Amino acid sequence: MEWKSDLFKYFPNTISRALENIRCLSPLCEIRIRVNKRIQLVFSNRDILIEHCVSENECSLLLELLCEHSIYARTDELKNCFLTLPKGYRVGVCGDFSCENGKIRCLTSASFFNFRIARECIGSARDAVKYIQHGEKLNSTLMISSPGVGKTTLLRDTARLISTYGGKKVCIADERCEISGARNGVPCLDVGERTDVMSGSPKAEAMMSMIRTMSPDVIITDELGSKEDIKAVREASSCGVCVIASAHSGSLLELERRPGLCELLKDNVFDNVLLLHRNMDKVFTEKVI
Amino acid sequence: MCVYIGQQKGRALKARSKILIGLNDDIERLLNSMEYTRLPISRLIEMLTPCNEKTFWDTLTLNIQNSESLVCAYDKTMRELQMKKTGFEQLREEDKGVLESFFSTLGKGDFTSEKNNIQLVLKRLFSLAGEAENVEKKYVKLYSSLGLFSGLTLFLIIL
Repeated sequence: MEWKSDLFKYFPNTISRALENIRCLSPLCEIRIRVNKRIQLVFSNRDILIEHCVSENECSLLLELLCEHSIYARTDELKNCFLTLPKGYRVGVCGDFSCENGKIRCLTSASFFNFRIARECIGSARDAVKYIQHGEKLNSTLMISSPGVGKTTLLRDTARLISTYGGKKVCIADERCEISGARNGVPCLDVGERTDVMSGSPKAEAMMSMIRTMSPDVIITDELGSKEDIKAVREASSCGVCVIASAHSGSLLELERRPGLCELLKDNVFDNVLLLHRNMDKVFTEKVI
Repeated sequence: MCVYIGQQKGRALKARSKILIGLNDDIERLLNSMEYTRLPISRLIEMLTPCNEKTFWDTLTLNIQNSESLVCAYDKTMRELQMKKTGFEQLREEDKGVLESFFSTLGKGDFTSEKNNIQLVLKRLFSLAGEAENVEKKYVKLYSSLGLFSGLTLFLIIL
């Protein structure tokens, strides 16, 4: 199982031993570790609890290993309660935070971890790409869904298809290294033959830099939300670059209530809005605009 | 024999002084790289050039991959280097104490606290290195001379 070889180096020995004999009959979606509770494995159709109670010491060791013994190198990510590991695994981190002037200053102790298992789904974006590329013409597209449906996985495969088979120059603004799974600037996941990746940098800055320097046909980015992201998408679109992005929203109605994103819809910055649904292991794409 | 013993004593003092000065410079370079790049410790160590105590840092890098904490990796490294007689067996308890405290706090806070901790360790290492150099200057010649003198005296007695 690939996730074992990818993740075991970050687990304390006691937790690795508890998980090494697990056999997954269906794809594993999440590993949830909580202090003084049993480890939870979440599959697509059920979840199980492993008979190993995680101690406080194991939690602090886990954080140290996740940060590669260098918390100073990951403080910005920890302030946003997540860490990204190579190959696109995302770890949500919760616990005790200290605040200053109403904002999170730093994580003082980590007690809850959610490992989201990254998976490459080659070919999963075939239906979505039909709406995005018609020959030479490209349509800016926004993919929306609730959390955990597979937006990032779909964006990754979209990049691969448009770049390798569509013949277009693709640039990915990969702020949290989830789309390309980049490590030290090298993508660990297949994002296509004609794709450039800017990882670790804020989306808005990355998009503007890549437009100026990499002459993309398409810019792909994940999880639009802030004012800066919205502004960067407008500017990219006005430069003639096709933008493919994702946003958290369970429906078109919810999307229209989100400030910033609803203005992008009104101004027709996006040619398509695709709503994603998950049924067991399959993701279905529905064009709503 | 006496000359040999005297020279061995001198070499031991020189080794201690060299290691402390070398580590002091390497840790200062590590801090500069950390300030500029904010990369994880293992990558900063890989990029450490020039590197005075290469054996120490190379062994530490290998042990970091197999250890759960930096201080465990440091302990393992010190034991291996002392067994191989690389000069690290000449370090005193207070030298090892400073290094142990460095590795037990390294990587556990934000950059400002890291910088403060490392600068404190550098001050202590610098002072120990200075003391070791003074001891070396004072006693190396003395031990060599004592060794030669004792050797001659013994020779004359036997004669």
